[in-house]
Amino acid sequence: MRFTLHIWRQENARAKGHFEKYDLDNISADCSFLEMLDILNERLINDRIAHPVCFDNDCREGICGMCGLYINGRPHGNDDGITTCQLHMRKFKDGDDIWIEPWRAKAFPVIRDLVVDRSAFDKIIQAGGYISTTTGGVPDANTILVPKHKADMAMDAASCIGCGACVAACKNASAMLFVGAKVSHLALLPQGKVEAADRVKKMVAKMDELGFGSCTNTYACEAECPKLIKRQNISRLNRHWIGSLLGRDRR
Amino acid sequence: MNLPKIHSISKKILVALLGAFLSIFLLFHACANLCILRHDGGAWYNAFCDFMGTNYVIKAFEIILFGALLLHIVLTIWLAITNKMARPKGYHKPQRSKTHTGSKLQVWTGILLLAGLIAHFMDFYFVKLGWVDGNLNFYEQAHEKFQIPHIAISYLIFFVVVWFHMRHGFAAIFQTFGLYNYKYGKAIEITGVIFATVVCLMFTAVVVGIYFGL
Repeated sequence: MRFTLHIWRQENARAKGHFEKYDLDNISADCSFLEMLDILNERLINDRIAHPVCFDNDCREGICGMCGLYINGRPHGNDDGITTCQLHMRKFKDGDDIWIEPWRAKAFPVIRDLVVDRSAFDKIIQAGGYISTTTGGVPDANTILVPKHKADMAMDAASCIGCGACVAACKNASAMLFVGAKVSHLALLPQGKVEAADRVKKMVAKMDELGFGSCTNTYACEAECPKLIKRQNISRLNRHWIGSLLGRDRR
Repeated sequence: MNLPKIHSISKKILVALLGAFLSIFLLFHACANLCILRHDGGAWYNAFCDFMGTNYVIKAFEIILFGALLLHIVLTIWLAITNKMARPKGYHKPQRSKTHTGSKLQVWTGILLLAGLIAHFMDFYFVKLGWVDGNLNFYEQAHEKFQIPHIAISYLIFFVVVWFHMRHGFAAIFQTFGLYNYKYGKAIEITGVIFATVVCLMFTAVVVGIYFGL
């Protein structure tokens, strides 16, 4: 297959940045998107054309949340429920123009080329996305009874890999789906419920401080989440926020 | 730009609360308007207008209503500014994610609503205040206005805009209050469509009824 790539190149965080055009041929349809970028980088290095294109990646099997590219107007490209590393070139047509951009948000500044600094998510977690007491080892099954539907909802929320596609997709660069998932997976379980009100206050305050936008219910985040996390988690976040305003801090 | 610190969710909750209040008022307004369709020479409708114009409780409510409308607009603009600041540099390729059209249109329908509302006030409310010349008998004023084709059509377009704004707003209110869940999500959205349709059909009935002399 043959493609024309338009890739955002930016020397460093302070540089202006621009799109660079690269023609690439002899790409297998079974090649993953990141493998295609590897091939491009090999050619750029071997032919001494330019510095290789920088992009984040790690596990390449959709579980680490490191990769994240804005491809032809969609975070993680033209497919649902996948990360960039799970995207394959067969999803494109031969001869396609592919525009590759980094996540765009004030809270995710570009470090170089397609790499952005997503430590803002770590800061939100550090603000309160944990249980502050030692919960000990894994308890025996049924020692703490958890209704099945709550366990399922908590598990679904916990599947968030923190890739930032929700922020990248949202027209307001809002992190509400991420924060909603992090608040939900703890608040739905007995161990995390005790600190739920305090946690939501701290995490939302940090989210606002870091410059993320607010949710205007377009649900692009839900549509682009590689782990298919639902908008109900945002609703739960709002509910816990209202609860915290009404003084439901149990500590 | 240094803006006062109110958490983003609190702002959203306030916007939703005011939106809910304004929606309930619209339902009340639409019900009251149906009195115009009675063939009683405006006895019921004018009596209602007199009550609304002279009762002190209603006058106090009027201040709350306009305050709510103003605050709804100011908070929405404030949110829009902070949201714009959250992404200083946009994408080159336009977004192709599957999103709710209603939400993306909400700001634009809001702006159109404001323009329509000012035009509506010029026809009725400002006449009552004496700021604009017109017939103080609102039953007759409505008949004069809605029999003019371009005014009647403009109002019908205005109601379509109201429908779009309310349809999205209804489900958004539940989402913002944290009441949108797996069990009732679909029901909330359907109820929103029904609510917006019923309110807008009541308004439409008056304009169409007067235009066709029903």
